[in-house]
Amino acid sequence: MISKKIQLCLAFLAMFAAGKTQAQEAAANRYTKLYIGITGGISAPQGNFTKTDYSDPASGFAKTGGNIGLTGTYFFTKNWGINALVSYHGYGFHGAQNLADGYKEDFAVDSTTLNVNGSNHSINFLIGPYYSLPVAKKLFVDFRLLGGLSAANLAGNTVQLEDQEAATFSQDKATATAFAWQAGAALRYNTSKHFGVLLNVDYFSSKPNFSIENTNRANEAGRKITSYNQPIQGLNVNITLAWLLEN
Amino acid sequence: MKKTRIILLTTAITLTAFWSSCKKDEKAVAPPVPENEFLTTVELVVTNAANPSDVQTAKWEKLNPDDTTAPDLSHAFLNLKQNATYNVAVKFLDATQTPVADITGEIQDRANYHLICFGIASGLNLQATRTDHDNNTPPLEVGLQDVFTTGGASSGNLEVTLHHQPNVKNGDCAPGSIDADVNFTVTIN
Repeated sequence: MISKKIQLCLAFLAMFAAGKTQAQEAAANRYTKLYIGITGGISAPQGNFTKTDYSDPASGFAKTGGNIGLTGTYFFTKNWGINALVSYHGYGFHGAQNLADGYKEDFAVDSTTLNVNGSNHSINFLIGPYYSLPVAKKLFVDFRLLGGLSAANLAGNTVQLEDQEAATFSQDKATATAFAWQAGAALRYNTSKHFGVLLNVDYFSSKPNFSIENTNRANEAGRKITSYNQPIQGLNVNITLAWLLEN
Repeated sequence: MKKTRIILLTTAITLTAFWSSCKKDEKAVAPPVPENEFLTTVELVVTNAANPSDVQTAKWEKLNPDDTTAPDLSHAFLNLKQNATYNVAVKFLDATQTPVADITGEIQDRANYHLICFGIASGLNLQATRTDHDNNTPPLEVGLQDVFTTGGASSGNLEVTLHHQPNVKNGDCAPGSIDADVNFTVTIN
């Protein structure tokens, strides 16, 4: 009688164990087929684009700003997919005082007033391969390498020399489009079956060739930039909120 | 609830980071600073083109530009020959410094927005022609180097003005402000 009970229990346990294995297999076969996310964070440019040296024509006077965008990945396999990103990078402007001081010195005037026109920013359309590496039950390390186009905008400025209205001159805002690439890694945590959060760190780079118009530059004096062809590159640190679709 | 908090927090961080990058309309003012340099003295070094040893220096000087003391005109005159040609160098000095500071070089460095003009009294048979040019496109006259051409016997006032024309220099004397305005008495005989 006792042995019958033991046999029954063992059979039940065997059935339970078999059922659990099937569930594990089913779960193991499930993977994210698609995700679409809104992404945003900090953009920290580097190099000449961030310099604020009045006398250096390579100075771009950009400072750390932010970015926001839409991104999505379609997975062909459990690990491999293709990622697309449409983003806006907005950089701050710093060093305006250096410009004002420099023009004051170069035109030997008592005072100058400089107004920055527009902003340093870019709109980017990028696409490229995506690799996802599961490291825990809901945790993944994702990698991507993107390439595409960047439409960049360079801020201008208007300089007033003392109070002489006729002497006021401008470096006009400029736009240029160039190839851009971005590479990075992300830590993705799927908070639920349909939602996930990613912490992205990406390196971005482009080198637009701006042609710059200057208005009312009557005399050859002071900083005058007619073109700007320096790399716009740096780090993005983003958070992405993703909607997931599993297969 | 926990997931909602995570989503709200990440959204807030994202929007804050982006919003902070959207500041525009930066403005900077380089304010006036106390002047540490005076322009006290204007000299005309006049050399007879036909006789390089015939050199005269006329000097207008006012050591305290800010007060109402009259300038020293004891050397502010030229005696030129009739129907002659003179090469002229205009010099600007700061005699409040020891040794006397020659500011002419600074004006030469900033020639693209400086112009020297000559006002010749009616009746004075003198013609002043600037011979040096700046680096503007096209080059414009400066006036630190000049040629004076005399006619018949006469006398009168020669006004020399240094015009500061930042980004408004166009070859005319009118734009900008005047850094120096001095007068010499010229006699042609």
